[in-house]
Amino acid sequence: MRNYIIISKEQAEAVRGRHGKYSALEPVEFPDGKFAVPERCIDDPEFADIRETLQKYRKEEIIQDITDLNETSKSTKIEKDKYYLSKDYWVVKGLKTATIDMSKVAKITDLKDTILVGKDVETLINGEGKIIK
Amino acid sequence: MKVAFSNISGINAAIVSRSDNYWELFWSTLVSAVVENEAPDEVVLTFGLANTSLTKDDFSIEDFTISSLSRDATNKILTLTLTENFDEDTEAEVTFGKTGESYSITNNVVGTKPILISATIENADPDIVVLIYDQVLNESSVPETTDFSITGKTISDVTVTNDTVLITVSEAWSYGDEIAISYTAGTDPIQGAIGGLAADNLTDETVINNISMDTDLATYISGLVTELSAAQLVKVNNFIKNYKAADSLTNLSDAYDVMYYLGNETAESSLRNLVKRTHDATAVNAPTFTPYEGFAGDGISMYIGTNYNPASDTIKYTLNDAAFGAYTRVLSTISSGTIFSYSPGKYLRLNTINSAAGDRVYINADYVTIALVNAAGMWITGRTSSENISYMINKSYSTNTKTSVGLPDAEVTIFKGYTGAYTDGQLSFLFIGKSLTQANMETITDIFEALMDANGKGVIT
Repeated sequence: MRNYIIISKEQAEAVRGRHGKYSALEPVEFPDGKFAVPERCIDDPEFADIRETLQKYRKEEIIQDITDLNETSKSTKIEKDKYYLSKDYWVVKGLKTATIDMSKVAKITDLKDTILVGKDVETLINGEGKIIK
Repeated sequence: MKVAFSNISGINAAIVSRSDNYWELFWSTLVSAVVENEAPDEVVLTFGLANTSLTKDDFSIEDFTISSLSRDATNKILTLTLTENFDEDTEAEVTFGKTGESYSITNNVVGTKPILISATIENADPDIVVLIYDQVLNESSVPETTDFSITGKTISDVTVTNDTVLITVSEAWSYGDEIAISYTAGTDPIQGAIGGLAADNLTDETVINNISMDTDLATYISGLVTELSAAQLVKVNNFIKNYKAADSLTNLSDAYDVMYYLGNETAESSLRNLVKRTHDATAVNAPTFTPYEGFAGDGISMYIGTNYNPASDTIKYTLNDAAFGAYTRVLSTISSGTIFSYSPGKYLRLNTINSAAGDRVYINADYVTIALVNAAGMWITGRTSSENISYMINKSYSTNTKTSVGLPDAEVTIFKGYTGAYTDGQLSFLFIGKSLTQANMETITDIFEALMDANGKGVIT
């Protein structure tokens, strides 16, 4: 399970930074401008100082298990508003619910009506193809 | 003293007539009971009449166990052998069971039995067991090496000096080793200088191990909130000690800038730099920690920052004399760089992935390809000159050339790679330092694998 709490930029800034003796929290920005933090941070003693805030986020915001995007299947199901982990393009977001034959997709940006890719990744793809330089 | 009995066997008695015509039986009188210095474990009983029937069970001595009874030719002198020695302070009586009477034993023993005060191994001589007794010992009575036994060790020498017995073994002990010694007196026992009484045998006597932990380990654990277990300390100490010995290092800092045992017992210790008390790592977004295995990334946001920048923090990792390596228990499925630091054209990067990306070797330049078997285990990259680079995965070794460009000017991260994309997999170890020979690479692979195996977590087949 890779459960993430999906939060706003303002919420992200409220918890960002060092916590505990050896830990830090760096909410990551997803392709749609939302941020995310691992839900498991709530139970980590290193984040005790922001536990209440994270618990509040968990209660009020969306929690999603970010699963792998199947990038080889001929019938990959994409759900609207769900985030996926692409091995080559990091986190992407479903813009609409669809079933895709990924074997026919040369570049993920070809699916721009179905899958939203981060801007940095999109730039990289345009320049070098895949993220695996 | 004469006592009448109704049922008697043996001849150590006299049948006498009483004036009232009843027959009575009187046991022979015990003339003396003596312990001599030459045989402090023998009580010699002298009777007025001979006997052949008395056994050791007919006698008792408080606080002593009688193991046997023997007679001289006249059958008047009986010798009781004891399991313990008399010493000069012993006061005892022998009780004759047939009569119930007790006789004081004349004690001619000189001196006392040597008592073991301590059994230790000291830091200065980690190959010598030091037995200290409560008195000066007979230096002419030196036990054979075979009179001692210590599990796993060959005893090479025994010396007796003053109140001390030194037992030397062929291979030194280490910090934390549990040691026990056994001793069985032979022809030349451990004995007191006065009186020559022999010391007791020893059976698995605990030897206190005073060998200090490695200095690098002592520095590493100083100030930990959660202490490592004694067992784990021994394992880590052995790793450091054995590695330093194998590569002739006085300190880890002689060869390394950073070294993280990411699979230590606690997350706190795993994030500490073994080399020195700077560049401790930071766990960002709570990467999964499993004791004895290490940290795992999730490919989404979790990573470890080393707080070590090759360009600005280096001492040993230099442009043309450099090496770094990592031990991965679980390969990554994402190729953006498991170990990563980057400036344009300059990388410190390792892709621990079983794909073509795993064949790309980056060290102070862009990559060159060296194809090895990309399996879980130890991955090491090295550079010995401006041109020559090397690559080793689980002791499979190859070389290539790639002109060095410069040191990357960015923090080395784990699970966070190119363009900030994250990787997954599980890492147990990371080091960055000066160049390593092929033999050096093999050594650190073997010794770290031994550490992982000590906790049942090694993955190299």
